[in-house]
Amino acid sequence: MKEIRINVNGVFRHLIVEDNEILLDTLRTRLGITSVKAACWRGECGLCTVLIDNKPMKSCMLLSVEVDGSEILTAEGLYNNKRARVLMESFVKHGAMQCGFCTPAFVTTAHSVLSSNPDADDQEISEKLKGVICRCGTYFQIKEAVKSARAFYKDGSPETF
Amino acid sequence: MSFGGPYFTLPKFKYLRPDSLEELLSSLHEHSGNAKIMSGGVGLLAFMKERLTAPEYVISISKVPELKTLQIKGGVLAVGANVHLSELESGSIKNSLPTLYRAVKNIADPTIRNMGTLVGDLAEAVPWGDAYPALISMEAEAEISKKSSSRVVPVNGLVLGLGQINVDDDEIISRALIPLRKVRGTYLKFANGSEYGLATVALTYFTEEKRFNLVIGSASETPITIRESDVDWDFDKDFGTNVEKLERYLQLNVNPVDDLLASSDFRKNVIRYLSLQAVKEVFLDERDQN
Repeated sequence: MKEIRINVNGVFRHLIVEDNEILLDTLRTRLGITSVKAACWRGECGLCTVLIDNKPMKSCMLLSVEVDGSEILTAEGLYNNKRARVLMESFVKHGAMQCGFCTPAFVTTAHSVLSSNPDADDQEISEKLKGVICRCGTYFQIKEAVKSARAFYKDGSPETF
Repeated sequence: MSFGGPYFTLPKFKYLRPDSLEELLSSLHEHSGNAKIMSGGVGLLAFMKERLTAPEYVISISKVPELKTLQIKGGVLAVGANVHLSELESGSIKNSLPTLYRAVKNIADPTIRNMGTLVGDLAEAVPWGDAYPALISMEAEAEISKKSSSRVVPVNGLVLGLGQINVDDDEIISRALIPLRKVRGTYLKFANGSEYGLATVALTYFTEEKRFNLVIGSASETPITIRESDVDWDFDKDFGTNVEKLERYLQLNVNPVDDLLASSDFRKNVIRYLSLQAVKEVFLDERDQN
């Protein structure tokens, strides 16, 4: 058992976790954060992607003890971010989903790409989104949605409402 | 808490997180044989989920500052064991070490590259690893540390086979040391939709010494290395004739593994294609650009 202190979506959490506890389990089962999807459990599909200190990482391949002291952001946490909200609306506008299971992972990854480099070109966007799989195959619409939201990240619009 | 079966859970272990290299090496010495080192964890946790390994202790190196460094000293780029792959995707690495840059770009996906490390990919010692053939072609060395001493050995020969590495239980590969010489290079991978290569080719050409190393990975238990000194081909002088020699050499001397993913003949054709593409890129296209 280890004590960890993490900031999840702006809320400080002080948890006691097992040494072998997987972050995906901690987020979904203990904290009820269900936008983080559990699918392959082996780091391939990317549906459990969360932002750890603004870097997309696959939570099924991370120990909860390893992220002690980190800031974790999931799709729920992005809801209050004005730029990310535009990105989410862009997903809806472009029909960038079918079943919607992968959407939170794509939104969090795309938010990290655009907020770390608002000048990301089309090729960089495609490349950085490679870590997430959409089994419905809406990649084209997803890329269009991200490209369309890019201008909003670029023009320095405020992050919060 | 989890669904219960392998893949979803990890076997029980004690987690240790030393704060310095000294503490890490002591703890490795103390738990020698019962401990595994975790850098990014992507490889180790996958093996543990499948119950291929179940160490009593997992020692994380994420808080060891000495292993976090990426520095240039004495014409060598030293990549610490906890330097993430994404940190090697910079423009300066692209220009100075093109083989490394392109190999890193071929490892898994950008999200995994935020977690995994170059040294971790090497230490995983799997035949389909991308770091090992690239590091061999660049003539890199590995710094291996233990409690009382450290040694520097060529990366070539470090991996003995699937999961077998020439590093003792109380040792850690602390840094990969890559010489910074004037080079042209490339790394090509045929993966057929998966992240695991069916065949890869790493080619580094040292422009001042006028010699190359061509390393074929993912096609046998350990990479196949073809050195300029072994074959005496000068692609810069007469490209066409030497390409024919290369094709003949591959046909006669390279016997790739036959497994569920691909037959030996198929791999042989892929290796031929990738090797020709690599020499074309390095000796024709890049020469024209320089």
